[in-house]
Amino acid sequence: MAENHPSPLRTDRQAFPAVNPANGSTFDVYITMRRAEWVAKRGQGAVWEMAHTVTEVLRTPSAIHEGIRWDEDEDRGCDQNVDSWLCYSHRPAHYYDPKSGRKLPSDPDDVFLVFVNKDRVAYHWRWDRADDDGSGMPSGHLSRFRKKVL
Amino acid sequence: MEPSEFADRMWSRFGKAEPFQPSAHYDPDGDCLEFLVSDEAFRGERLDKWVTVYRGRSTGRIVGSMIKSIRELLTRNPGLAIEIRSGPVRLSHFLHAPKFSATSEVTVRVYQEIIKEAEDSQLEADLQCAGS
Repeated sequence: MAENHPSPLRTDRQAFPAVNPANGSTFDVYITMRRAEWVAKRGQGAVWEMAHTVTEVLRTPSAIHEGIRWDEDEDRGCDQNVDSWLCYSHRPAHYYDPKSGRKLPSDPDDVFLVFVNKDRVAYHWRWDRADDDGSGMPSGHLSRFRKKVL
Repeated sequence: MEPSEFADRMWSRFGKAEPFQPSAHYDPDGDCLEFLVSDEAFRGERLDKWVTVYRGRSTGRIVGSMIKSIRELLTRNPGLAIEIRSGPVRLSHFLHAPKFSATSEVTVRVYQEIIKEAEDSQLEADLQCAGS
């Protein structure tokens, strides 16, 4: 993915710092107003999750995987099948109930995922079960992603 | 912008005090379609390359789903691509497309559960920008 570069200010999205897996530095990842509007339909807790949990995982991921649109039927060793979309993962200490906004302890078997496209837009996030191999990685991490980049 | 300020601004701009309504949403940034039939907190379970199911943390019920690679689905199912040009489509109809590539009975059963939730909520999705 490209490094931070000068670009016109856009009002349809908000930038947040995220770990750049290429070199461990920081670059901007964006949350769009379109996404924020959809999230708000779930409740104030969902908005807090977007603002606090998503940004925490982007800033301090436990792992970053690349190639999230990779087709498991394709040749894993073939570079032309790689897409540069990323999955940031981490287990924050709490989750937010979307409706009540209550902050509750997260489950040790859970992991929070943030999906980022090639334009560095965080287009999706959610809690998932961690893999039962004890790694803390997303479930199925060895087969569903092209490679681990951090 | 600090997270707390972002949260306050987004809630002020988009938040509503109304009861939750089931809804569907296509996001072109991820080329994915999500629907939710409940505001219960959930965990995702990846079903296959197309679909992730959302199960309620408390109830274990299916409370929604995400379908990804919508453009690829439309390419593989030209009839569906034609249908979306006419306007919003019933989500339950759309979910039959990835179901036909399921490789196990267990997966098919989960698809049937998801489709039932979509049918019961009578949700529609506007996918015209995905087909263009």
